[in-house]
Amino acid sequence: MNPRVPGASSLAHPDRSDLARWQFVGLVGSVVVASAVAGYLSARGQLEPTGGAASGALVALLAMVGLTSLSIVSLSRTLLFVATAMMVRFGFIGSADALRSQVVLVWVVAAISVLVLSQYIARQKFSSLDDSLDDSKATSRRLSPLQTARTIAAISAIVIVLSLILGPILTPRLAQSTSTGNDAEFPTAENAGRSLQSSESIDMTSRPKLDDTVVLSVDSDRATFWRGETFDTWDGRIWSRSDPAITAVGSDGGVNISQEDIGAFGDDVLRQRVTVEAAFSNVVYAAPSPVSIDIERPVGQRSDGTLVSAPLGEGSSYTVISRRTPLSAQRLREAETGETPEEILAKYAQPAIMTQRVRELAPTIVEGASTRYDQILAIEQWMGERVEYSLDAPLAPKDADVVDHFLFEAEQGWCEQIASSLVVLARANAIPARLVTGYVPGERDPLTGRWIVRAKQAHAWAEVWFPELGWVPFDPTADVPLAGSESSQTPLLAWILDHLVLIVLVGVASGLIIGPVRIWWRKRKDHRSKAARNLEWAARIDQRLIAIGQRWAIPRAASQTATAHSQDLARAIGDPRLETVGLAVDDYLYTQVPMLVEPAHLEAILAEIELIEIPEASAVP
Amino acid sequence: MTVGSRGERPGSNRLTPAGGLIVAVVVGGLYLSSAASDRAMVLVVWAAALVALVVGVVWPLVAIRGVQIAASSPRDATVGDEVQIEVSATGAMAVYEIRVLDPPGTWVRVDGPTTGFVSHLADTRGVFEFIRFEVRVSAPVGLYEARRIISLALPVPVEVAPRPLSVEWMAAGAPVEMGELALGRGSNGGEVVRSVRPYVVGDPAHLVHWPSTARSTTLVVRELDPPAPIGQAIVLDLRNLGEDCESGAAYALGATYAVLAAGGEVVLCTAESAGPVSARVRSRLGANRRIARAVVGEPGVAPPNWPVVEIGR
Repeated sequence: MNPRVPGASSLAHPDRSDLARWQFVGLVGSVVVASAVAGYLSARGQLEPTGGAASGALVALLAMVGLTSLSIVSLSRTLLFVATAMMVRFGFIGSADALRSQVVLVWVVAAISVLVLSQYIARQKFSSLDDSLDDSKATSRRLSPLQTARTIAAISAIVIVLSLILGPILTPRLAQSTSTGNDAEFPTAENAGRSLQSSESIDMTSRPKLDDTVVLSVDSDRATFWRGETFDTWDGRIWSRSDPAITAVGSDGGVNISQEDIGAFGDDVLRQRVTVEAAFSNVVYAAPSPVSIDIERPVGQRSDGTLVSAPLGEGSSYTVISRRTPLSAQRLREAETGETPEEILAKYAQPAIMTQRVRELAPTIVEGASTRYDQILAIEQWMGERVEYSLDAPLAPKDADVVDHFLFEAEQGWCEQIASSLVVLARANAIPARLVTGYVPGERDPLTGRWIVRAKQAHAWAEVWFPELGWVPFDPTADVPLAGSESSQTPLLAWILDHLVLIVLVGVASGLIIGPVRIWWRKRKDHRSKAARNLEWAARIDQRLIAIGQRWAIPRAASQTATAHSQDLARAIGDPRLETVGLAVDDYLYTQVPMLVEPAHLEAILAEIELIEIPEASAVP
Repeated sequence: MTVGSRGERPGSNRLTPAGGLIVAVVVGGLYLSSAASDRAMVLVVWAAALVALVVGVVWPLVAIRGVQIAASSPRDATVGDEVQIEVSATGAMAVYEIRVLDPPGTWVRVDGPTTGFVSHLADTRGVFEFIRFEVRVSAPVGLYEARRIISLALPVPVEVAPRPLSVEWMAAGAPVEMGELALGRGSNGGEVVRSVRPYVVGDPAHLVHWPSTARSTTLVVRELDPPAPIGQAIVLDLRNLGEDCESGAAYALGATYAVLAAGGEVVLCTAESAGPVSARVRSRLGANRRIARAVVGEPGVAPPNWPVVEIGR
């Protein structure tokens, strides 16, 4: 039995016989991790990702440890290739789950570890040049675990950094604008939370059940709200749509833009590639105002400019081009001069159903605001001072007006009540407004730059119509303070947990790279200071010789070496040991001859000489 | 041990099997990805494979430029023997393999600056001033092998002699000069009494001629005629031997050994690169070196009146 590798026997493949324990553990561990990642990403159906990871790890471990008659080098590379192929072909490599994207980084490091370690082990079958020497004469550096780890860290860092730079460059060139994805799973009671289903109405009297499930991922240059649907009819409890008609979008993907959607003629263009991460979606989410869409399903549009599609499953993607008019506060204030079309006023500016006190309240809020924009700001500010945001706010009682209950009774609510209140109050002041539902931008994936949108990031906001600008979004929820903490985790802690793998990888890589740099720097400093100290010693001795010479009226000539000067001193003073001092100084400074005399001994000689009293004739006057 | 028996061409860079697999992943990966996979993430994985391939190719190509080796070898060798070449590996490059070429030897691993010995089969007779090494770097990821052939000048050229054939030699007289023989043989060889002379301190006792000593009152000794010198001139002419050149050289060396073993003098007449040579050979080492240097050409002329053996004529 080979004591170096556990379980090695005479039947083991030769490349296992001379394996160091750390090499064996490192290689097996790397293969196991790579296989676990492949299993994690490939798990489908009944098998959870963690189960997939465990299965992959177990298979790899059994193969690496059990199949001893096979070359460990070939086996590890084969397993890595199989794991990679599985991951690419069957794995759901998605940026939707931040952990998945970071798990890919772990796979990169594991794969490089397998390649480096197997390469080093493969080389061991060749005899070393050192083997021809006695151990005492062998001078080459043996590859240590730390050296190997540093090599792995350096290569992993290069690969990860360059691939992160290359990936976003390649994505717009190589990524397809659409994909079919999986078949849509029609919404049921169980998967309702994972479905993005179009609805004809929104009931403000029911509490939403939202979780962390990722529903969308968006590849976009900038963050924006991803609009889904709009509603224009309010009955005090439910928002609905006055015009439910849907017309098909042409095969060229061009959206039929209505005249009221002035933003669709704007100069600011945004291209978004949206991937459906939910099990079902028939709403096309995009930044307003979509002007064209590339999708592999039939798509229709409503009169409000929003889009709906045939059912899309998980992994489906589409690309939307949106346009908007660049906005600024000044431009919004100046837009007062234009006229609002009658159709807009009739549909969106008529006072909604509201209670008397809400109707009386509305003009008082905007008193003093001279422009539509300032009126909206005034409403937002008023709500920010009066109400609070809470997902646990009490629901409006049966038959109660939701806006009235929110503003006067509960004074707490979530985005739906807040946005509804803004729309109702705006309409009470004859300002065209409508309710919009969709999603906030979400979190940006550190690897791909995509926006990851979760179910809990569903949002409602308002759009107000401005002359010459069209529909302008307002999010009154941003001005409303939180009623209480919604998460037990601080934002920093949540960020750390989301990026834990990345932090660990960066930390390990930094340590492996920074450590040797620090050691090298310290050695360089020590070497320099040591050299400087040594030179200081020689210079100090030399200075003392010169001082003795001056004292004895035998100054050193400019062209004289320490040896020659010390010989003169030795003759004059009568102490031949001085020659030794001068010779030692010159030898140390100018030759490679090793020191035969201790500096302390030389200094002792000089100390004795310095104590000798100078005869009167020799003294320096 | 790996030898160049796979038919690999020295010096040519190549992808390793692992590198070929990575190329397959890079080429085919984009088209084989799952329909449900996020294309952007697949591209990140693909980019990682591509960068790993590039690093795996570029790193060895750059690293092999930093390989520095020096070599020295013994001066003498015999065809078929393993010669220990002392190799000193310097330079910043950490890990690589080297092997001697001509013929290709086994790969030897170098793990940093070191010195050691590499066995090299001396398979050809001649004088060799250069030795070729092949260096191979595939570290650190083993995807691509960068190879380079380094030709080093040896501090002392290696003189490879042929393996001598076994030859029997019939001793023949040769007109070797007396002075040389006296230095080499002493004066106590031979059996013919030439004269008597007074005893000199150091003369062997058995040479004392007692009858003459009895007649004269001084000790006299017999003076014997020196033995007849034996030797051979060997002319090695490789011009017409064709494929049998080496056999001819081996025979010539064998013959030289036989003469030397019998105590004879040898004059070897060969052609060297500088021209014909005809010179005495006094030892096996000398013979080895002379034959090692022999080339195809007009050999030197045998000295007059010497028994001559002509090889190749």
